Amino acid sequence: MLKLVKYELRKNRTAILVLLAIAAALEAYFLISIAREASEDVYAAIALLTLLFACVSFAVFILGVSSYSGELKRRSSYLIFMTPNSALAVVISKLLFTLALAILFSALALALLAVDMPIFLDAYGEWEGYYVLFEQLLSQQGVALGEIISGFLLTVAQLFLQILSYVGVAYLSITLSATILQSRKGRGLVSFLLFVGIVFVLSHISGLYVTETLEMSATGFYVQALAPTILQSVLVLVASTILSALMLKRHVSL
Amino acid sequence: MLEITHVTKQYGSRIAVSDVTLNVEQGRLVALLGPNGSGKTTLMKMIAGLVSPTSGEIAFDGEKIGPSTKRRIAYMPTEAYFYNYMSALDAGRYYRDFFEDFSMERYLRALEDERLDAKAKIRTMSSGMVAKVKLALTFARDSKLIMLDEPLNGIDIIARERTLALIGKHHTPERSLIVSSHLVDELEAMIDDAVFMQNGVVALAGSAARIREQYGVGIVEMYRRIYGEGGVEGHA
Repeated sequence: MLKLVKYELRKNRTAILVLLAIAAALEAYFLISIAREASEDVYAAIALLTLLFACVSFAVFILGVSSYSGELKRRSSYLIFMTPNSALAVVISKLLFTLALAILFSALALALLAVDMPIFLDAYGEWEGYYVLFEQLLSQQGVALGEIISGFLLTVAQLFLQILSYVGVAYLSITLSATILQSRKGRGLVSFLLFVGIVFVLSHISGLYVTETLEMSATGFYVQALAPTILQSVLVLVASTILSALMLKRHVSL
Repeated sequence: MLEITHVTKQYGSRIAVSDVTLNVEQGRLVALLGPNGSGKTTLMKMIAGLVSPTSGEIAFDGEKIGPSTKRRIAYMPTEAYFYNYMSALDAGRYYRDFFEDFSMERYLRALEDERLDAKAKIRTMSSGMVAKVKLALTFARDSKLIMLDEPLNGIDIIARERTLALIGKHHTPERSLIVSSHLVDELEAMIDDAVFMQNGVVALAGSAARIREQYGVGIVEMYRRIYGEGGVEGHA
């Protein structure tokens, strides 16, 4: 299965390299602006980098979905399905590819943050004051910075799972539409409508378990708030993966 | 070696293959004949494990078709099925990564014999050249069963002769070949068995020799009778 992931990465190499090149260009813009002490450019670079990583999470979703939908449209699907892998392994490999991309770009974002933050604080000392003030404010409220960080990590994990579960729902929608319409036109539109419909229902379900009890530590709050969402994402991911693989094997014409 | 038992494949309301029962013995060269849409490709895809039957069962060496049998069955689709980025060399590496029975050395030698540049992108090749790459990939595998879907389509007469020679060369007592085609006359001389498919069902199947003996005509004439006149049915 890992070999399938390897070929997914190879197939999407150009798109990945373009995103990395944009990140590198913006990082260079930031560093040069810092060296030139051009404050406006520094803030512009930070804003653009933030915008880039917001867009990248959407791009990861699109790449993950298109890598699957493309298989059902193009003859290159033979290359994957003739390998000694089950339909389930093929679907999981697409999800792993999406996860690998998400990890790659998250690691890049964290690495840039780790490099740029000290440089920025060195150059603009007043920001360090704000940071210390923020930390003091938190401790006065009885919240440790560690709790905020663990909560942040939990949120990131939940975000990863949610993106993956949405990718799983997209696979299910694409497979359902291919099952219903076979080779007829309009598969893309039907897939999109199914996706929107399923996501709408899932958002309603996740709205049911929002509670108002906040009398606890920050970590406890995060766990209580995010645990049901994480559980739902896992269930949706597993169910959509299995259903997609079953339909793919039984009903879809390659 | 290959047992197909009451296999039906249905896509929605459309029946692509209906209640097909066939056996392919080791070392046989089987021609899967019929016009477009007769169910040849769907049947091959089911044997290759690309799609599953709606009902019925296919077993290879006693094992139900699945990921494990894909290791031992080589399938060459009729269309070009490569990724855009792939050169002939990349395609070979892909096969080497997934199929233990693939010989890179034999593949590269075959490309050289056909005077094909291994580093050339497949998407820039002519249909005849792509057909040669597909054949080289398929025959570089040491599979017990090789299936070629319309290998004579879209290639010139010289390439056809070479393809037929390749099929003949790889037809050994240990290996079975299933070749689908509607160019019957070119295959007639070399096949052991013939399966005529029509609208998803087997119109006639049996050994080529017995068909000739029983009906008193060759495979080409039988093709005309079945598809031109809507003729015979059964197993010879």
